[in-house]
Amino acid sequence: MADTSKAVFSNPMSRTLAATLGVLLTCIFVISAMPTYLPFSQSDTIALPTILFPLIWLTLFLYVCFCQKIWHAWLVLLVLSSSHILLIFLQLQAV
Amino acid sequence: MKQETTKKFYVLHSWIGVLAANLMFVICFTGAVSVFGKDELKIWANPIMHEPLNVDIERLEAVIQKDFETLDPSYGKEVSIFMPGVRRTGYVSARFQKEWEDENGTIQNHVINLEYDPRSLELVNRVEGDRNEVFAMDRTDMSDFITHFHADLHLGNPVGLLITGTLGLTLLASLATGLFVHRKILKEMFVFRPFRSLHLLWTDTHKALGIWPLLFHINIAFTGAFLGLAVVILFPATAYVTFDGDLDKVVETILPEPKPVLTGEATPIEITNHYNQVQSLTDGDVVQIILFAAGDSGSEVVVITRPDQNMVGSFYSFNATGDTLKEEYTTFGRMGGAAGPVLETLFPLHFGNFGGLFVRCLWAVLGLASGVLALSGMMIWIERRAYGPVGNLSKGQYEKISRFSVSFCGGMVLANISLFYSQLLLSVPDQALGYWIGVVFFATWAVASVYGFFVRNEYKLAKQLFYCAALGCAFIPVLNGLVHGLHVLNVFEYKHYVAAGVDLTLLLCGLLFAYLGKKLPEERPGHKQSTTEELNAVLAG
Repeated sequence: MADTSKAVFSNPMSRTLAATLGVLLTCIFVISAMPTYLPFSQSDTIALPTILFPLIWLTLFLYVCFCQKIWHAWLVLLVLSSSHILLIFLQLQAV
Repeated sequence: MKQETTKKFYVLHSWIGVLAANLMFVICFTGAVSVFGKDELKIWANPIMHEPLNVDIERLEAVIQKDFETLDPSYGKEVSIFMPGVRRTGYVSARFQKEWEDENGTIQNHVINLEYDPRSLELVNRVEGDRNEVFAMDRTDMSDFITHFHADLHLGNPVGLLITGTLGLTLLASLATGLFVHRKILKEMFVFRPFRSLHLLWTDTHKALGIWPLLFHINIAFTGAFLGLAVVILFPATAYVTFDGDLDKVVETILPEPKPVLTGEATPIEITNHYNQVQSLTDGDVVQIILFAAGDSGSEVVVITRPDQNMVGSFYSFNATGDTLKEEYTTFGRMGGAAGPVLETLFPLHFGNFGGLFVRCLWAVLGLASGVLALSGMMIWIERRAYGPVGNLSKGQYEKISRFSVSFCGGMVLANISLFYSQLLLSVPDQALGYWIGVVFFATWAVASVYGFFVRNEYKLAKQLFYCAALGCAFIPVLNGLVHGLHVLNVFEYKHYVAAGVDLTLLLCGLLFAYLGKKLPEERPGHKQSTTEELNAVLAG
């Protein structure tokens, strides 16, 4: 009997890795750097990213699972991560 | 929507559910019990709290002042007085804390915790050490055990919190994918076909339990993910950039502590004025009074009330004598902006500790629905593979997975029942009670889980577990009567209404378990197998 999951998702190993570890790390980078560009009061810039974390995670998770080509998913994660890591770096340098 | 996309959603929904279902049931079931943990179960577990504890506040003030005089004045840095009652213990306690900077520049602390009988105000216990040591020596009972288990599975920070937080995210993803799979929500709300086939029974139950309380599921998933991950990942991550990794500074920004201006002029500890003023302002039960810089005329006194009928508790900040109410605020109220009110509502929305007993009952029932939703999803997955047209393993292997699920989840129910027996029968000091309650709890859960491997028929296994749970629940009120002499029949004499209510609820749960055990067939009903047409109908929504 054929398992339906086999035919449904392309690159299952790479996709699983992207959907679990990739998405989690990207989310952490994003919420870490968000206080640097959110135009709110200090307490809001700290608290809002943490509150938004589950929604950011869900959006990225679903995107990674459902995008047609897995390299698109990795590219999005990479761009988001690297841009936010850069923001973190610049912020820490400024301090 | 294209059939291929629907199929993707369906497969993703199934696999997320299967991987997390058993643990999800455990978290949801203990969550449903924990809703009553700090109120009803706390009272049931502590006979001293069966009657209202009205502390003589003037006498308490005198007693604390007398004991404070015997200590070094530096212990006045922060004095926390915990009033007896639900959400804490049956005793009054005063926690004196001093802080100093050691030669390496590290802030050290030492705490002396004095516990008093709530009626006589005699000193009953004294412990001291650093803050963590004193917290570790706190009295724990079965209500504390189960609420902590729900929060972090007793695996602590970070492992336990990471697991529960990730489960929140998993539930969120499961709900999102489930919504796409079951797009015809309105139609499916009213579909229930219990007699067609076992597969349809599980499917319809799963849909009904998923759709009717959908908002609650989303709420629990979102707030659970936030609460689980906030301390472990979220706030440290934001602190890393904003405050160079200093988590204390984040806490200071979000929850600023009062900073009294010291005058150097000695003054006795005063709490009566503050307490009475708060009682005149609100019906909220006073849970804690904190004196910052106690013994100095510039000290600041904060009186904290518990939520009761409001969403959140309030903080009332006074000067040393209690003549001036400086500020009234809520936990996150002083943050301002948009985040404060959102953070404020996340906690009560998860715990259901607003709106009294009705909301708690509602949250418990809906929490159970979340647990059964996860379990029914697991059963559909097994049913499809063991008796349907899909699956890579043998029928026997799927039946083994089914038996494990039944015994693992049933074992959790029995482990929760064991808490009541541990509370009544264990004769150990209060500080060690939590440990031994844990030993009995985990042993019961482990034995029941392993037992599942020795019973060949999962229906028989479920039946046995239901009967065990029924007997366990029904005997607790009897045992409570034998141990404490308190039972439903003498409720008007001793006025232990809440404890009697818990006993009666357990009796009803026992009857329900017995009924379910009786109704459950001895073996899988010989209904027709799930057909490909049925499965396609499910896929098509």
